[in-house]
Amino acid sequence: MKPKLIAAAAAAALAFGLALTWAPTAGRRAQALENQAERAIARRDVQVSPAELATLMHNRQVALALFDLREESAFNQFHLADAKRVDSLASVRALPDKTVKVLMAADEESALRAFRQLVRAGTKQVYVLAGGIPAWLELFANASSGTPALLAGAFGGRHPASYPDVEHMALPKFETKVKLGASGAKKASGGCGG
Amino acid sequence: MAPFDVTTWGRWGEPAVHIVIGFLFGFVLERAGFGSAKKLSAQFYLGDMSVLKVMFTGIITAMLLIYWTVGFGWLDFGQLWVNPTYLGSGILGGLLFGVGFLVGGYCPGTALVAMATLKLDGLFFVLGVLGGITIFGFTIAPLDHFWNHSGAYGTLTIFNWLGVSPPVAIVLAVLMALAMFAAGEAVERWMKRRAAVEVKP
Repeated sequence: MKPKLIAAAAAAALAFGLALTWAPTAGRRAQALENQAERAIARRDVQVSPAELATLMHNRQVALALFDLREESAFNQFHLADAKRVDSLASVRALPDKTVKVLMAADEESALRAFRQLVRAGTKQVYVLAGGIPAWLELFANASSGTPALLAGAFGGRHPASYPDVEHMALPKFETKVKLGASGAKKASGGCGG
Repeated sequence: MAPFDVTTWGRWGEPAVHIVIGFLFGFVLERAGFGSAKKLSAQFYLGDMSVLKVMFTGIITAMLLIYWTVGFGWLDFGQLWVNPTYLGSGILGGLLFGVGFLVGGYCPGTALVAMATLKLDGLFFVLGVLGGITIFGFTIAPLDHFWNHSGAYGTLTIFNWLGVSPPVAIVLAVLMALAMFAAGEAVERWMKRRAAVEVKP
């Protein structure tokens, strides 16, 4: 029998064999995680309000990482203090499970797309800034039309709204979404805290 | 999932992997005879269907390996980067690519293979590619909207498009490839017979 006929028969056998035995372990796991993520999104369990996030930023007991998914120009105009702009989600996935990771973008839906990818990959403690950066600016900079209208220059993280002084302002009531439990809080170690 | 995160393999780990894969890819292309512009352009005149056969063999081999490893739980398909679909820019780019391939006798990868074997036409094709890339760079601003929005469907796989499970799409792709191999060889035989008739006085 010619080698090419053997190769063709092998390819066909492998294809039909795959169809008959298809049981994607990793695929099923990813699907389960995806379903879980969709339920959480629908219940708005992962959409953190600007007021809650600002409070978390002042909480030194929380290991918090902020990821900005917008274009570089928008990020340079304005971003939250200590936020990191990312194109790839690899650096988010690399963080420890206990770190609270908050994604933000120009709108909530863009951040939710990244959220779905991360959850599908098994990343834990991921949240999204509700309403995106415009909602943040609306609350802390009284801007209703988003970054470009608010800022003529590139303020980066140096604008007062980047790190709002929540201790001296009246925040709207918010529902706590970030579940810290035992895993989300930093260990109060060192010094006299022990 | 196997630990294939090359970004964690140190400063030289990732470049080393790229160099090894690139060398192997170039080696296979050269061994398949794809360092010759005559052999490559013969595809367009239906005299030699090697390009179609080698490319489709590569596609179905990769397809089968990926989905068997997904099936065994060794690979998470969600971790693979799947290029988004831009139908309009894809069709226009494909046409330009095809014309360049037909006129020059190479595609960019095979031109590099030809250049690596010190072929002068390969060298000039690579220079042409670099010139084309430079000219294309100047068109990015005015044509940016077209390239990035024309027929944008996001990540679209064949099984999503057909609404079937991945193995069904794979069976269809393999059957299509085998049928094309058979048809391609039939066309080759027909072209040889035709050429033989034309040569006779």
